[in-house]
Amino acid sequence: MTLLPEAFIQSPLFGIALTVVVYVLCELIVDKFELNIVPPFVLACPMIILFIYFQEPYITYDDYENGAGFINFLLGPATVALALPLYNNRHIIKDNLLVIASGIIVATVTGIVSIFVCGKIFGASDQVLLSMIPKSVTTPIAMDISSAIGGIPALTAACVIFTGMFGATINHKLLEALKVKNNIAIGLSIGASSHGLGTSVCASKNALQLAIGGASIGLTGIATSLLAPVLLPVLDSLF
Amino acid sequence: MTPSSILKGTAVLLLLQGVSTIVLNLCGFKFPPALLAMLLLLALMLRGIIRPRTVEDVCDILIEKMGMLFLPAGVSILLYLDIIVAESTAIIATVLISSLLILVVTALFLNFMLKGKGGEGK
Repeated sequence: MTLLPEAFIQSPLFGIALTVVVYVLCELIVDKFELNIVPPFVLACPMIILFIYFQEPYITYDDYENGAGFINFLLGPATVALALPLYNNRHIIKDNLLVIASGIIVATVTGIVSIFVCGKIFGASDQVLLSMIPKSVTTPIAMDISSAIGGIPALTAACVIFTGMFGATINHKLLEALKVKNNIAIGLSIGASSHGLGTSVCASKNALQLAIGGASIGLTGIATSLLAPVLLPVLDSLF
Repeated sequence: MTPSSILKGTAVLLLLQGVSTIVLNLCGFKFPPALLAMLLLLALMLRGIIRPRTVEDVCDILIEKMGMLFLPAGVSILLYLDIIVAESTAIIATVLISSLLILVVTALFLNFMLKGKGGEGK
């Protein structure tokens, strides 16, 4: 049962309001309890899912999508906006162009191949496997790649966030254990493996790490969208 | 940050996204339009045709609050719950293993590449 009137549920206002209000609420919760490594998204997403799930069939995903589609649209402009951090880091990229380019290619190829092989070993279906391919890329680009190669963008978004949370917790500890001390190596490998969520941790470590990490996020997105369609048929023929 | 700077920046982002979508559609090339628009914006800023100041405010907002923009996509998991539950082992194992591999392989590769460069980035 739901107490909400049908006129409200069926207007775009419902989806937009639910998204914005719950997100702001979760931001306040994260602030209040100092849950720094938990992005508000991680709290907000299950909240909205449960809200809709328990009121089905009175409220359906389609009702939510009716308004939430407008917010989803903004992922496009948000992807375009990623040009700004690349521009701001242009000098660092230019000075280390060869190293950065080769690092990005190594990271992207390692990612695509390891995801493909792991997915096959653990018996993931094709659709799920393809959804996981762009999981180390920042969400808006990852979802675009996912739908281009035949994955489920929603599942991709979930894998991306999962990857980022895992990376944010473990990256620096692991690199320390491996005795990697070069900040370019640290920033680039973190940006390429766990996008913005992982890179945000670099902010408290070192400015160069953060700058390289920021550049690495956009570059990995470009490299994955170019390499995935080329590598996938090759991998497919091998396995 | 002023209302008109945000509006101007938004106009630039939407215009570039529109142009990219049209171009990709016309030449039938499969590439994310927003990503092409990102490259266009970057190129135009590097050539000095678009001043970074023009788009700075709107870019900052979009990037800082990107988490909210993912929500509708995240919520649509609702539609795929059965697939996710059925394949949860494969998903979790793949994500964990490949994340570790990307990090370690890339970091060790770069560490090796930068070794000769004496202290750079230290």
